[in-house]
Amino acid sequence: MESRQQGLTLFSAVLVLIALLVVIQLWLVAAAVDALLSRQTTVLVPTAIASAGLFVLSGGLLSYVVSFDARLRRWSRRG
Amino acid sequence: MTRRLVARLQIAQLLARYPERRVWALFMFLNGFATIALLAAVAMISRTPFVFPSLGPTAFLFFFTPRAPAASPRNTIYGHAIGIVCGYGALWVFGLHHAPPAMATGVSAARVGAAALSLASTGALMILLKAAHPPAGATTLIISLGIVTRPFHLLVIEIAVAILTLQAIGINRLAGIDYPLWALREHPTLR
Repeated sequence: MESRQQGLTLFSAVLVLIALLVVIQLWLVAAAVDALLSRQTTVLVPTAIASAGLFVLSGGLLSYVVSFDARLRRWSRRG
Repeated sequence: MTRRLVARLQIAQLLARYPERRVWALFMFLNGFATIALLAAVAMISRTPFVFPSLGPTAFLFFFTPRAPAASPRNTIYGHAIGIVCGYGALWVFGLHHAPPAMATGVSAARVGAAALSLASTGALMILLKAAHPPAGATTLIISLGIVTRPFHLLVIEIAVAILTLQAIGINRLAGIDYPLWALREHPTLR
C-alpha cells in the first residue's frame, strides 16, 4: 500500500516535471521562430540542442516511470 | 504563460511582426515536416503505405491555403476516397487488379486506359459531388498505375489521409486559423 502511494506521488511529480519541460520547449520554439524570422540564425543551433536535451530528459523520465511501475507490479504479484 | 507562448506562435501575431512570405514558408516547413514525419514513422513501424506521394500536395494545401475550399476536411476525405474508388475501379475494368506496377513492366494499352479512366472519373466525380481536392488526382494515378493495389493498403491510404486531416485541424486551429472542422460554409457557385 505504501509502495503504491509512493508510486502515485512519484508519477505526479514526474508528470509535473514533464509538463514544465514541455513549456520550456514551447518557449524555445517561440524564441527560435522569432530569431529565424528576424534572420538571427545564430540562436537556432543552441535552441535546437537545448530542445533535444529536454526531449531526451523527458524520455528518460518517462522510461523511469514505466520501469518503476513494472517493478511495483512484480512486487505486488509476489505478495 | 503557456497561453501567451502559444499566442506568440499564432499566425496573426507573426504576420503582424514579420514578412508574410517568410512566415508562411516557415509555417509550411515546420508543419509539413512534423506531419509527414509522423506518418512516415507509422509507415516504418507498421510496414504499410501510411505515406504516399499525394499526401505532399494535400499537406501543402493544408498549411499554405488552409481557408481554400479544396483544403477543407470534407473535400480532402471525399476527394481521396473518390480517387481510391475510381483508381481501383479502373484497374478492375481493364483487368489489371493483379498486374504488377507499370514502373516494373512498362505501360501497356490496358494501363493507358486504366490511367486515363481513373483520372477522368475522379475529376468528374469530385466536381459533381462538390468535393474538389486536386491531390486526389495523384492518388487515383498511384492506384491505376499499379503502385498500390491491395485493398487493405487502399484502406490504409484513406486512414493516412484522415490522420493528416486531423493533424491539420489541430495545428491550424492552434495557430489561430479559422480552419473548418468539416466543410467551409460557402461553396463555389456552380449550378
